[in-house]
Amino acid sequence: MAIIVNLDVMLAKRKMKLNELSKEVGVSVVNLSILKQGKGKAVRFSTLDAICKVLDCQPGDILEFKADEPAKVSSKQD
Amino acid sequence: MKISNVIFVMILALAVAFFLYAGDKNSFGFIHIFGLSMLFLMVFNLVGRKFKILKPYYVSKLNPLSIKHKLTRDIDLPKELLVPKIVEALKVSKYNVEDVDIVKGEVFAMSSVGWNSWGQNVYIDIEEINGISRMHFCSVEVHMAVDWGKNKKTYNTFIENFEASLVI
Repeated sequence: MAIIVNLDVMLAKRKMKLNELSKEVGVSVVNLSILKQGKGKAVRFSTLDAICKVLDCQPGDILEFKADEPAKVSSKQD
Repeated sequence: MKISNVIFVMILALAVAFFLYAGDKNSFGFIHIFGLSMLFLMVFNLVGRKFKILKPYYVSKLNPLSIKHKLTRDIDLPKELLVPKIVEALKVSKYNVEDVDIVKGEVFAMSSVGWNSWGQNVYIDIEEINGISRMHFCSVEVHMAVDWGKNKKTYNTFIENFEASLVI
């Protein structure tokens, strides 16, 4: 996927555990785990806002865009 | 709707009609026994549907008296996260979650009996294959031999709520 979630990196930087963040943010551990693994369908602005407040960071610290590498096409030139 | 089920319901309706109109005969014949069997089955289903131990009976293909709708879907979530999300989606779909086993990957839920429904049982099994969870969904109308599309509607509602629960 092109969007990478760096929540685990930010948690490590802040020396915080997922269940602590869950209590602070008010989102279940299961939902945060799904977000951390990048398996969620979407993120609400309210969730992002709460996470950024608790972790004292920017949305860009949590979400990162990495373009997918295009498939290499081998072609013969005459 | 399967033709065999329609034929079964027609036979059942005929049997009930015979039972009602042949009451003046004093003999306790086949029709009476059949009618009583149906009554017993109805009471049995009303009570028995609550017990998870009877899952093989309700899910079995050999049980034509309880119509079922089975579907399989692969979901890219580990079992430990998928089971709580399934429970969440079932609760939003107004089902009473009766039993949850995260280790085995089993969820059993029921809808209550109301004016427009005899109630449904939902059995969900999850197996992990190469890191991907395979969800086996089975919705059973315990009192119905004919499917009027309610089981499929149940599945669609559940999946909609499940997808919505992945918005965090």
